[in-house]
This record gives sequence, C-alpha cells and structure tokens, in this order.
Amino acid sequence: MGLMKRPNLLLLLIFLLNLGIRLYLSLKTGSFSSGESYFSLRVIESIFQNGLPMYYDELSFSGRNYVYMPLFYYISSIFSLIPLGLKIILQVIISSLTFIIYYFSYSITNDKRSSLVAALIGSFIPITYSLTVNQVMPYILFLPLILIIYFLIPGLDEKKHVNLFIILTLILVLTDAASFVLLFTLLVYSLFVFLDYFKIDRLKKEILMFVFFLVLIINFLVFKGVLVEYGLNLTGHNFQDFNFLEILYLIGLPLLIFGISGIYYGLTKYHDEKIFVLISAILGIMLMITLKMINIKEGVGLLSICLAVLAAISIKKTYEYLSMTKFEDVKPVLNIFFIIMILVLSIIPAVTSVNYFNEKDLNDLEWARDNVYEKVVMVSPAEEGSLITYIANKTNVIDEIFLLAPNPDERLEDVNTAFGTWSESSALRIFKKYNATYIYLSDFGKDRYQIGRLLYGENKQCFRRERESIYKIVC
Amino acid sequence: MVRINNALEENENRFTKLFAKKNIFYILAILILVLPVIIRAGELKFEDYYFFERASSLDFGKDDLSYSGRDFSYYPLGILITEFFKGFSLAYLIIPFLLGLMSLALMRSIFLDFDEDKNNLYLFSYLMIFSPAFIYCFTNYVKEGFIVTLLLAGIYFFLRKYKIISVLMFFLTCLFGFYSGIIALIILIILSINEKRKYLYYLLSLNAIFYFYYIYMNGLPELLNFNVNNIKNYLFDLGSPYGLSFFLIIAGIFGFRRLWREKYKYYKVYLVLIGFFLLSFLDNKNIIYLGFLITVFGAYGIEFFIKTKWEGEQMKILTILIISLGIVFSGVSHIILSNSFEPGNGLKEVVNSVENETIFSYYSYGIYINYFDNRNVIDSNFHYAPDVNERFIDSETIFSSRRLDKTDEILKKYDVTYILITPWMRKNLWITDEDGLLFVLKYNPLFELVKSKGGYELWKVNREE
Repeated sequence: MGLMKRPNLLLLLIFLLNLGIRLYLSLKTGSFSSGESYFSLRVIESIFQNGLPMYYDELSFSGRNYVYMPLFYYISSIFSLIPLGLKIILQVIISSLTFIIYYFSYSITNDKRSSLVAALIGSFIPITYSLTVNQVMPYILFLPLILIIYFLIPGLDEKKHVNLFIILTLILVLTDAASFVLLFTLLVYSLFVFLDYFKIDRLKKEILMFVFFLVLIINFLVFKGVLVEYGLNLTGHNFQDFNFLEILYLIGLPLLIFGISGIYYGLTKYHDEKIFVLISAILGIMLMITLKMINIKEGVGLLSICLAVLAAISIKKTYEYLSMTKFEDVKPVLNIFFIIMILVLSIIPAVTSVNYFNEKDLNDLEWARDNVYEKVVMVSPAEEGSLITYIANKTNVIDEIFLLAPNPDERLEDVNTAFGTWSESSALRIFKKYNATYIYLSDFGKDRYQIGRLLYGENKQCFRRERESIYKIVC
Repeated sequence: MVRINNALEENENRFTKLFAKKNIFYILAILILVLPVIIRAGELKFEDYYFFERASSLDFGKDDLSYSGRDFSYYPLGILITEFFKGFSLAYLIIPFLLGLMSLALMRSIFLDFDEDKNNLYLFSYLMIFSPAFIYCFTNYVKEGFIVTLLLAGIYFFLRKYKIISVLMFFLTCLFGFYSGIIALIILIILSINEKRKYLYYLLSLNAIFYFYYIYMNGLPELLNFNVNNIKNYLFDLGSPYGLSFFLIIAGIFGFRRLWREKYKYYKVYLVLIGFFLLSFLDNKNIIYLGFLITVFGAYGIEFFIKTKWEGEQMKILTILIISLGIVFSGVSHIILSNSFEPGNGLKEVVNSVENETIFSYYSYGIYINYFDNRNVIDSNFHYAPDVNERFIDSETIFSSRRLDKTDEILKKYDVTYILITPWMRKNLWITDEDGLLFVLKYNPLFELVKSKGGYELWKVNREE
C-alpha cells in the first residue's frame, strides 16, 4: 500500500470521489431533489427582484409569513449568476467536509491512516447525502461551518484563530436557525469545564462567552415571535416522522459502530478537549432533537458528522489491536476489506438515498403554469408543495416550510387523508375546505402514499385528468 | 500599575456619569410605565380588574355568575380598593403607574441599605424598569402591583425600624390572597433572623386571625386534584407576560457568582430566592416575585462583567452590550405586545353579544364571561368553588371528546347554553379543527355558530325545551 505513504494524495482522491459522485448525482437531472430547494429558488428570485428575501408568500399555504436567516440565500444568489453555479459550488462546499473531518480526526489521533478512513466514512454518510446532494438549502453551508467552528474551539487560547472563529460564528448564525446547536454545545462544554474535565484559559472563556451571547441575541431578535408562538419548538411541527430503523440505515452501520466506540475510547483513554467539544455537540444535538428545536434528520446528519470524526479513534485502536495479532501480515487485505465494507454499507446507501422528482411530472407542472388559470389552488403532498409554487406558480395547500404556517398539522393530516382515502366524499370535503380545484399526484406522491393512482379518480364527473399527474376537480 | 488604576478609575467615573442621572432615569421609568397604556389605548388587560370590578358590585354572600353560582369567598382588599374608585375609571390606569413609581423609590432605597455603590444602584434600577415582571405589575391593574408595593413598603419600614407599620404592610398583603400572605411571612421570617422576633409573632398572629376567620366563614377549600401550571409561564421569551427574561436569568447567574465571593454574607437573600422559587412551583404566578429578586442578581451580574478584567477589552464591552440589549429587548417586547393580551376586542364583543346565559369555555376565560353578565362553568378562582375538581375533569372531557352523547350529557349537567372558542384554545387544546370539541361543534346541528370575530366564536346549544 504505497499510497498510504502519500496521505494527502489519498485525501484528495477521497475528496474528488465524493465531489465526483455528488456532481454526477446533481447534474444528471435539471431539477432539484426537494421542495425546500425550490423554496430557496423562490427566495433567490425575490432577492433579485426586490433586493430582499421573501418574508410573505401569498402562494404558500394560501398565504403565510416566513421567518428565517437570510445569509445563505444572498450567497446562493451570487452562485446562481454562474450557469449551474448552484449545483456545482454548493456541492464543492459540502464536499469540503472530507478535508475538515480528516484534519479534525488527525488533530485528535495523530494518525493519518485512521483519519483517512474516518474521512472516507464521513464523506459518504447516507443521511448527509440525502439532505445535501442536488439541494439548495442552508444546511449545506451550515454543516462545514459548524464543524470548522468546533475544530477551532480547542485552539482558541492561541489567539491566532480568534477573529476567524468569531467571523465564522457570525456567518453560521446568519445562515440557519440550527445555530442554536452551538449554544447547546457551549452549555454542555461549560458543564464539562465546571466539572473539571479540563481547564480553559481566560481568553478562551471570554471568547466563548461573547460568542454564546452573540448567537443568543441574534436568534432572539429574529425568532422572538416564533418563540412566543411555538415555545422552543422551532420546527413548527407538533410531531415528526421518526423511524428508528430508517435513521440507523441513513447513518450507516460502519459509522455507527466506529463512532460510538470512538466516544467510548475518547472518554476513557483520551483526555483531549477536542473530544469533549464533539461530545458536547452530540449531547447538545440530542437535547435539541428532544425539544423539537431541530428537524430530526438534520439533527442526525450533524450528529453523524461528529461521530465520523470520533470514529477515527476507534479505527486507530482497531489498527493498533490488529498489529498485535497475526492479522498484521494480511494488513493490505484488511485495508481492502475496510474499503469494501464502507463501500457496501455507506457509499451505496448514500448514493441510493438521493431522491429525484420525475421529469415527466415536473413537465406537467410546467404545463400547468402555462395552461391553468393563475389563481387556482393545487393540492399536493407537503414535500412537493414548493414545486407547485415555484414551477407551476400556483397556490398550494401545504409545503415543507412549517414554521409560522397556518395550521400546518391540520393541513398535513387533511392532505394525507385526501390522498390516502378511498372515500370520494371525504376527499371532496377537504378539497372544498381549501378551495382546491386541482390535484397534483406525481410518482413521488404515489410512492409516498403507496397508491398506484388517485383512489377515487375514476369518477369522471368529479375528476378530469388533465395530464398524467394533474387532475381537475370539476364537481 | 498606577496607570492601570487611573484608567480603571477614569472608566468608573465615566460609567457613573453615564448612568447616575436621577432625572433621566425617572423620565425613562415614566415613559416605560406610560407607553403600554398608550399603545393599548387605555384598555385594561388581564383578568384582575374584570374580577374586582364585578365582585365589588356583589353582596357579600353569593356570586350567581361564577361557577353558575357559588358562595362569596374572595379575598377582600383588591375588591374594596376597586369599589372605592368606582365611577372614576381613570384611577385604574393611574393607580398602577403611581404604585410603579412608589415601588421604584422603595426599591432604590432598600437597595442602598445593602450596597452604597451608586453605580450598582443605577444598574439595578435600569434593569428593573425593563424587566417584564415590573412592566406587567405596574402598567396593568393587577393585584401583584399592590402586593409588590406593600411587600417593599414592609421591608422598607422594617429596615427603618418602623416595625409596627412594617407588620401592618405585610399583613395587608395577605388580604390579597393566600400566597401573598405566605410570601410576606417568608420575608418577615428571614428579616427577623438575628432580630427580635416579636414583630414576626405579631404578623403570625394577625395572619392566623385572618385565616381562621376566613376558614370559619368559608370552611376548608376542596384540595385541587389538577394542575394548571406550565413551564412556559416561567419565561417571558416563551410567551408568559410576567415570566423571567432569558438574558436577565443569565446575568443573574453571573450576579450570583459575584455575590457568592462573599459566601454566606447574603444568605438572607438566598433564602428568599429559594422560598420564592419553591412557591413558583405551587402557583406559576409567584414567578413575578422571583423576577424582582432576579433583577438584583442581574445588576450584580452586569457589575461582574464590568469590573472583571478581560484579556479582550472590546469583547468585554460587546458582551455587556449584548446582555444589556437582550434585557432591554424583553422590556421593549412587552411594551409592544401590550395590546395583544386578553381581553381583546374580539373576546369582548363576542361574549357581550349575549346576556344571562351559561357559557362554557376554557377556565381562563371564565372571569371575562362573568364580567359581561353571563354565567360560566369554571373560572380561575378555583378555591372554594363548588365541585371544582369534577368541573375541571368534565371540562377536559368536553375538550377532548368527539362523542356527542358524552359532550351533550356534560353540557346538560351544567345547563350550558353557549360555548366560547378562542384562537388560544384552537392553538393550544387541539391540533386540527376536527379534534375533540371542534369535531362535535362542526358536524352536529345541535350547535350553531351565532357570533364570530377575530377568531373568537360563540356557539349556541340548540336544545329543545
């Protein structure tokens, strides 16, 4: 394994592999992979038109307000000036996680080989793939930023990174409401300091205190109304879909095994502040998920990245253990075995986790934009609501942005009933409730509700099929 | 070293000049006390006024509207004061304002007894006028405004050795309610440590006489089997009108750290803090008193930041600025939100559209229902209410049940003729508009929507005679 002697080259190869796969998956279609991406495109359009992000939308939920941090959309609007800029540059940004994970792991383990394996695992986490490939959302900028911030915390006493740390924190706060995670991380971190797990010097204490208050006040100023209305529940949901097995699959088995054992070794064998920063982050994220302050999938995505860094510890331990056994002779074979295992258990699930909307269905929405009266209300599954507003330029009943939306849980339940029921009268009652005159049922919707067609769509007197995925309600 | 000391002194002088302008402080305080009243165009918010005003017109003996008829068993002082000013409605706006100014003067005077540092006094005073508890108590006609002023007067006179007057002030608080009496006792017990106890015994005797008389007249109240407390009530930033500001809590934690340097010197303050905190578990509204105390700690927290030497001086200034802004932001939010508290115009109009009817709603709207001459099934005056536990369970059943027979049976039991639904109820009691009672109302001809405004709905129960 001569390559092992050139870790930087290997690291570059992992980065290029990650970026290559991401770009392939993103560029093979002209569309984006989530409703939230289409929401971002509308915000970017609004920035171009008015110079400001969109804070009121008459099409979403038949009219609603938004509250979000604007910086990501401004940055993306600059990227969008370049052809395919949004697809390419955002993937380059998120692929940089490979380098960050590597250097973070290396700073803990001081071992290039295990850090490389950690970078490989961390680059292909299925859940981050599903959340970031072919997407335009703040989370893409948020993930690398927060990991760099965590990386910088232990070295703050050396003064040289102080400005960078504060600037990155400011960017992070203005990028995504998930920056609350930094607050919780700092709270748990200060608990570790208080319990004398490690000592920090005065300058670092001051900087962290300042950053804590900075993050807090900016979030309070922006989300004050939300906190009053929803309490700490910043997702806007009263309940979140949570499938434990799906989450396990999306984290990936190698990461889970090495990550958790990394926490164990980190706590028992190492006494490194960097490990405590990551463990603080993990505990903080778990607390936020419990308090519904962060979307479960986004929380687990961030958790996985922290686990990836910690995984380097247990990978190093595994190599050390193997070198003491007879397996030492078959080390190259073991390396290959590792790579195959990661390939099968991480890269394949990662690649297959990316969701695509059917091009034909999107064409139907374009047809609706040109041929259907502008002010109609169109029902679709929540995940496709932003496609209705962006592509078809029609009013939707529900979309993915729940925060500050009117009665989101009620609407979600109604839409689920409307698509899942056999009862035409129940469905019509719901359509009437929201003044909906068109239904959009794409392949995605059919999968989502596990139906082959609109269950009550046979009644031609009530439902006229205008396109493959678009029905007009005529009764 | 000399130069450093000089620089520190210079800073401190600048700091003093900036804050210690008594006139500016009082002008700002007056502005804060007046602005919410202007914003809500002189409307009276929160239930205390509406309860006192109606109760003051009742004969001592029977209340026919609350719980559709109950014995008059209310604490008398708020009612008597309200009755005294009847016909002079401006008084209900002026009284909280005057109480606010009086309390500020008392607080400042008491504070100076413990700490002669003028800078700390001004820090404390500025934090106080921006605290949600202060704005809630002294820009609204609520009993807590009277209680806080009386408690402060009690402490003030105790410290000035006018102990009989002090005991009298403390005693008056127990005429506003059970918990205020307990709070007065806690304060006097702690003030009496290392002092002659006879004044404490006076208060104990007076309180005992009052409570015995009260129990003799009304009997023992039914113990409540339910709990209406909510963790959200603790924090203003989560929507509680009298909760603690998050930034004030943080400053308070640092203030505690600063005071703890002197270990047990302030143990009396710590004991009061613990007492108030425990009482807030029994009734969330007691968090108001804790809010006033936390402000003292908050002031020392800011002082801690100012006086501690930091490696990064700019960072220190920015941190202090952020915390102060956070605290000011809570106060300003309270002022801006002052028109959004109940009762809003929608509620008044909807409830006032009928008269002499029995209206069922969430308990927190009961007093407003009574104010407009209608009977309620349950309201927030739980103590001594007839069958209060049963009524609470029945209310919960109505809210959650989608079965008409069950709902109708309970409505018949209390002779309910109307049902009031509010936006708050829709948001907090149900997830969709087909949950529980909303389902029953929507799909049954027995109920008819007769009045609706701003999300407030009045549904008539169309029962055949």
